[in-house]
Amino acid sequence: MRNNYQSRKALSRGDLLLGLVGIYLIYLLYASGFFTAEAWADFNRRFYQNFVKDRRYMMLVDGLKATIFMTSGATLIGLIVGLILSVIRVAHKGGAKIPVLNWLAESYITVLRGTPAMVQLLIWNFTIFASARDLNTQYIAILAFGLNSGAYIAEIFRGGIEAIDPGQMEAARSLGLSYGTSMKRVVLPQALRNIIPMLFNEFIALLKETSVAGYIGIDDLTRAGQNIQALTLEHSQPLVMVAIIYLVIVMLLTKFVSKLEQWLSRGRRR
Amino acid sequence: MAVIEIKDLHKTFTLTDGRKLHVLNGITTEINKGEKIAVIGPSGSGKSTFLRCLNRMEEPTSGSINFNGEDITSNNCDINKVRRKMGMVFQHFNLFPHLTVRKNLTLAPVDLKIMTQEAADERAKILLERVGLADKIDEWPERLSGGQKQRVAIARAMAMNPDVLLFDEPTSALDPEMIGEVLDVMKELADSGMTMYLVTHEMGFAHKIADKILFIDKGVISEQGTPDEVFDHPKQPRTIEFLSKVLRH
Amino acid sequence: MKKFLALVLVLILASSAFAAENPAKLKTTSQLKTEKLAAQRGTVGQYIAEDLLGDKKGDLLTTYEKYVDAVSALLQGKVRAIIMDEMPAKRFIASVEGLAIMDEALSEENYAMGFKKGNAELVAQVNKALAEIKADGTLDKIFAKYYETFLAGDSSSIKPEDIDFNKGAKGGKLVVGTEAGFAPYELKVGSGFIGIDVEMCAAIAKKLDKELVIINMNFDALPMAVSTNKVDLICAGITVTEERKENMDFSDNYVVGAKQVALVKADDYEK
Ligand SMILES: Nc1ncnc2c1ncn2[C@@H]1O[C@H](COP(=O)(O)OP(=O)(O)OP(=O)(O)O)[C@@H](O)[C@H]1O
Ligand SMILES: [Mg+2]
Repeated sequence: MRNNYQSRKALSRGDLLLGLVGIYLIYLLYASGFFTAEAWADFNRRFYQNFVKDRRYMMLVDGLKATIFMTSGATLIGLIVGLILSVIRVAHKGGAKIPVLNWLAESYITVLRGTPAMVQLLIWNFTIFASARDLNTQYIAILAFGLNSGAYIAEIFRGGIEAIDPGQMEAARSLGLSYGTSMKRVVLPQALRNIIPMLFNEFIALLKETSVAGYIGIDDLTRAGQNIQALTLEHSQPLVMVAIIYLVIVMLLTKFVSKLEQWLSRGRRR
Repeated sequence: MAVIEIKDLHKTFTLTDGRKLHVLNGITTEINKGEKIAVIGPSGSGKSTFLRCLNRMEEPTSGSINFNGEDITSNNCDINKVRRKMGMVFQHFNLFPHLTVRKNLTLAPVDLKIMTQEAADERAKILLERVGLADKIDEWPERLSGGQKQRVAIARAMAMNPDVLLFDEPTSALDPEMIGEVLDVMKELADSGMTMYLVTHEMGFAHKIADKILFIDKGVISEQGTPDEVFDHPKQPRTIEFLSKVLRH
Repeated sequence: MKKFLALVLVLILASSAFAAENPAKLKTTSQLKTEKLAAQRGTVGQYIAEDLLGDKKGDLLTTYEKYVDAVSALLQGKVRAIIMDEMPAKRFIASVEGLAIMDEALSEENYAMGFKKGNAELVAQVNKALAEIKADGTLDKIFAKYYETFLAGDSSSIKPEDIDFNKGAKGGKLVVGTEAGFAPYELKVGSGFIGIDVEMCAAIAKKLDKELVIINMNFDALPMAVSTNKVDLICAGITVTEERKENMDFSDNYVVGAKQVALVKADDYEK
């Protein structure tokens, strides 16, 4: 996102490039006969078929619901798992005698970050939960994506905590506060400023990642687009629409995160 | 009466490559109530490590430290209780940037249920008055100058009403024009009878306020005595060499 | 917003802007041996295309997750022909302009439902039910219904809510895995499913006094789903092959002699 300083400049290089690309695209559209009345009518007819007829837009709405449900659920699990893992790792580094737990946490993070989320999803669905047939597949997806994202969130928490000057912990301990209280009252409140925006970024990444859920039989947003494709035999419009929906959500979230970041860093300077 | 008694203190760091670094090689000394001790010595000689062992910010490898008669290196000693009575002032202030000056001072006493928030606020006011920053009580640390930050840090170290204050080079991160205001506050504390352990490179200040100077070299106290003895009539060649270097400018 | 607009335009254009011309038209299927071909991943169409191309399959064969993607590749000239089942090919012909089916069929296949290896009990039950709906004309009616609508280009007259899934049946659930992008055999409409396979499974479920549950996944995930018991059986216009028989048990055939054909561009085909 552009900041105030940049947008005040008359024309940035990015704007110029965008303008050129835009002109070229409009020329291409013109050359391919897009601006003729027939082409426009055809576009509208296909649009009607893909999204309006038989309330087909509801397929996208339902898909979006599934996508958001999975992403939110997975983020929630990821937060819990990530918190536990990072507490273990940070406490280990802080001198707690928990070598086995720490080894487990480290292995967990290595394995789940080192394999594709898609493969993990397949393993959860077809191997671990193979016989759990009455379980809604979406819950399996939430679990798979949540445990996966837990590994990333653990590293976000740990990174956020370790970015805080160790002098903060020392100063708190020197006043007689326990390790836990020092963490809670001094280190974590400062770390959260860095952590919260990164958590939203993780949410955004997860939102896009769940688009492989169709593989195990979930009609998420991506899959909904494909279902419309199969229905109307129309290739481009449903997918472009799906892309636009993802993009709008991601852009809104990104905007929100940058506002949040500004707000959090303003708090510090007050 | 001795507030802190240190006997044969050793500290060895194990480096990441497995090598052992012997930083403290048997230090025995004591500090009496109301005494001010200045620790001087070359860089890397173990001054900070020694100071940090006193409240177990650093775990001593061997030896004993008695604080008010209690062996604080023993396993059944509640180190958090001990630390309340040993204030510590850091080279880089280490104020809590997410808390106002007031909260910096009241966090520990209130959280440890030693004082109510009101009582702690009252004490914070008095302490800030003492360091000349009463008007900054609701200010954020980032808005203070270096000298002001260190004065707030001293007030914070005093908030638990400690028996002794430990200073590790409290002025060496400051711009020269701010050193004076911090030293003035420390001088006032010294005059009020506070027991103080001070690692410093400010030889003039050490000379002025200290009752005793410890010269630490290679992890041992190689020379000690009154400021007059150590500064004006040093006996050890290492001390003479060190002093000639630092006093030249 | 400007960025956003540009992106949308790029996406719309990318799928239609560049198409290549091809000089010599196709006449016989033997010409396909040196052409770029497409098939849906994991289908018999893919195996036939692999046989046709031999060593060159690595360079010439593209497999797609969805038929729509393959057809779009065909229209853009990225591939010269799609090897697929005749019925869905006919449906494409009915709805998309500029396509043709080569007269000469590449092979004839039988369709059956797939089961986990060794699940003889369910296979027997399903076979019995299948025999019954064949005998009383139910199956023929289902086929006729889809021939009249889908292959005539009418995709809206059949509603999923009209199909009886036997909800709340006492005998439990019959969980069927499919890939609902294979009209007229299976298709997702709104939040429900229609298609020959779907209606046939519904009729079988009814005979077994079970409730039909459809799980819609990718075609190449279906064998995995049935072998891990995620689903009771898979029904997705699956061709019976010797190779598949090694890993899966099959029901009796419900389609015999379904042709595998080459779907090509009409202006690229000379009868
Ligand atoms: N945590 C640690 N791990 C390993 N080595 C350490 C650690 N802390 C200190 N040291 C080493 O111990 C030695 C003494 O360090 P210390 O900080 O006590 O010196 P100092 O006398 O305070 O020096 P200065 O005047 O530069 O502050 C140095 O060589 C230092 O590198
Ligand atoms: Mg030091």
